[in-house]
Amino acid sequence: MRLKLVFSLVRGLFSGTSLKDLFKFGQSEGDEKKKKRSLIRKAGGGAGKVLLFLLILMALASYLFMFGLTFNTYEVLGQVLGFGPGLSLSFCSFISFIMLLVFSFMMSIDMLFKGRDLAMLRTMPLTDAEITVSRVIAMYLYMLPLHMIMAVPAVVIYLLYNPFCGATIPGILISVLVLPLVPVCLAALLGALTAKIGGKGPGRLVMQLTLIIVIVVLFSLLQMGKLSNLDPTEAASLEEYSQMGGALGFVASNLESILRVAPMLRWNASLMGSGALTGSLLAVGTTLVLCALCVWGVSSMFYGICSSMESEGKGRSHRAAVEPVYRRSSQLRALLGREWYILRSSSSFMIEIIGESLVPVLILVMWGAMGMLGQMTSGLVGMQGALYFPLIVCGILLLVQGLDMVSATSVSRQGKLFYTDRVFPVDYRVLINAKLLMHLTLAFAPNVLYTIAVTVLFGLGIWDMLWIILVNFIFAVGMCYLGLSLDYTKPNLTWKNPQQAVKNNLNGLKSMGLCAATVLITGGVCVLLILKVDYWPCYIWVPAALTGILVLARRFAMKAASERLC
Amino acid sequence: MRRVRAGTVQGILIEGEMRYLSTMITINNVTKTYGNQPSPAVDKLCLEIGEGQIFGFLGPNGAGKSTTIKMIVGILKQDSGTITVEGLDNVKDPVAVKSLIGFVPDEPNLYEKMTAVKYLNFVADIYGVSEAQRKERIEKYAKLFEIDRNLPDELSSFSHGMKQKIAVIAAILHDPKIIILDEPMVGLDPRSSFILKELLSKLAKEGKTVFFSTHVMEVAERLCDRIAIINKGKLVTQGTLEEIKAMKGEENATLEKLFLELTGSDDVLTEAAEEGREEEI
Repeated sequence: MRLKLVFSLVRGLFSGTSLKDLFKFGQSEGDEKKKKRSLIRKAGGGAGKVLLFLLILMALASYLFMFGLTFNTYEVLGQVLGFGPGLSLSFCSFISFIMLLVFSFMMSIDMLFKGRDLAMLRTMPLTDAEITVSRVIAMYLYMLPLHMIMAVPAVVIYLLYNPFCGATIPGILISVLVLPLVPVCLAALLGALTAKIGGKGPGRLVMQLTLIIVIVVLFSLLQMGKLSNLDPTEAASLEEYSQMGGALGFVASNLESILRVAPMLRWNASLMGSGALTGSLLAVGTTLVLCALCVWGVSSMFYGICSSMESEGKGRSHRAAVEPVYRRSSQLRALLGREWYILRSSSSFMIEIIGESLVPVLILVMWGAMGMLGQMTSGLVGMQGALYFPLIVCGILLLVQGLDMVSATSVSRQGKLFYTDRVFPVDYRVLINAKLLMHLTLAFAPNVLYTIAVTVLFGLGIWDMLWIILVNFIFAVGMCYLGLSLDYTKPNLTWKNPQQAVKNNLNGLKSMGLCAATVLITGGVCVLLILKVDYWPCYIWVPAALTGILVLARRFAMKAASERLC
Repeated sequence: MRRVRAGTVQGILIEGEMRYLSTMITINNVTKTYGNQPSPAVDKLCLEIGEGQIFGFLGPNGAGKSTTIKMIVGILKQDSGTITVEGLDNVKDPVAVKSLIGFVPDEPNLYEKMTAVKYLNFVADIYGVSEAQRKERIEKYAKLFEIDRNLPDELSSFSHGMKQKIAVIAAILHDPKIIILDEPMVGLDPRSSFILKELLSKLAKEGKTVFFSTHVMEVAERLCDRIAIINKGKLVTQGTLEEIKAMKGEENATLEKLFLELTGSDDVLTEAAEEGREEEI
């Protein structure tokens, strides 16, 4: 295998997607207007970028802190229950393994077999193994930041409770850089098997989704509820941890059995302590052997899968006998239909969007797995009687809705076909309305269902429910405009792989940051109002503030769209 | 509300008969520069294209043909100068201008997950074509291009040529006054290419304006009423083939020879002359 060539292929895959490129605002064909932008506007743009960067940094820091707290609990619990040092690292490896497996699997088929560059690469004197390895390395690099968000706090917690020794540095490097290779390679193999067995488009997508659900369900069955009573903020002393551990004896045995089945997770804990050499060798050796086997498996199927995808649908369709239907629709409806076809054009898009609709369910599973569900539920139940309780429920639902990237990646998803929007005689407002309707269908509609579920669960009144739905609607429309303004300003239209249009699209991250900031600031004012005035002004303040943001966001979106389209 | 047409009147000799046509497309002093490129892709271009004309737009690779076409159809915006279509400014009235034009891009990029008929229905919806008209036109043109049996198939299963045919049908589906095609013959088999040429001639006779870029000299020679040659963003010449020949003082020269001379590719001619192959050109 020519590694130099492999790394050239990886560089090619990442060209134009570096952090610097992503933060750079778009230059639309040397627009005179943009060339003449005033210094004030340039300074404003720079401040905006800094603000966005800070928001993303803030979100990252909060995640690191949250993981840190959880791992702290596990490290102490591990020592109390006699697991020895490093339970935090074992648990981190477990969580990271599952998450990386799910997310890598979601991108595997598109990444491995559907890149636009593959038609060219397959005609070059490259072996299937070289192409496969380059794709798997790219998947690994995409997943590494996610792993690091979990691994870094786990390592820090480990170092807080355990002495630093000579093996610590290589141990950290292996924990952070080597171990995530396993789930990524395994996901690549699962993806290849799905592509091989799953048949054509829809069948494959169903199989892909089923596998993801199976992994998530297995994961939640293993964890949910069993670790739910660990509360790192309240259990201050070792005695309390011990009591918790005693009450949760089955948790320990459960985790023990997981570690027995997957010894790699335990080796991770011993990487940095005494006897680290054996642990390191075992971890690195097993990782490399497993990865080599997976990559070999994928590369042996690579040619067959690419060929079958190439010839997919080339044969005569059974539908040829069906009479074509000529039905007239409005421009708006036609464009809405087109949005749906764009979504269907890639399994990455479909999985991403369906995944986003299920965000609340996934968050519940994650909280359950991390032992935070019980704490959260008991906290919420404790506040159930408070008059401001509907405001809290509303805030949570808004935060959840803010995680949606439907609109913030909507223009990018069009890719090279975006030019049609400039050619068609359609007012840009109609194009925006079509995207807004799509956003409401995919992001707001599930939120209404969640609101109804929460109303039933916590016994909220009908007026509270209607108010929450109204606020969610205003927020959904505002955030859609905000997402569109970001994506119209700097769309990623030249993606080689659908993943780059959604998951690796910084506009999605920016949108999430801005949504979170909107909710936090609006909520912060609510807290002040409750403390200083009363709770009822919040019922006016929240919709009023969000309507103001909606109007502002709409202006931004219209301006960005008109500049990009006209 | 439509603006008053501001087209000028132009005389043209078609099949030995002088016709007076109003100007459909006016490109006036248009310049376009990409990003930080030192020289413009299109430099102070001026063109007038009359109603019912077939206008061939020729030039070597990178001459600025596609850029010009993209500016007319609205994909790109000119840095300076004006483009008017039937008297309507492409910057001030983009939607009205676009509804007059049918465009066939150089690459038939279509929504692959749609069936051919769904895609054509989608385009018809965008241009507001009635059900009866779309049915009649889709069936007529699909039959003409021999893809009527493929209409219910997904576009991902189509070959490049078949997609090109769908792109052509989509462009003429709303019966536009102007049809703009960027390298339309690429990917078409000889039979389909012939059918397309015949169709373009027929549409021009019906009063439609056809503007297309091509590298195939014989297509331009056979099909076009007027020709413009562009090189390095600047207009080199324009007129009927006879006018261009007269201008160069070479009554018997082929368009290919004229093109090579006008675009500064004489070295190829000299080489061919040295090898005794000048007759071939």
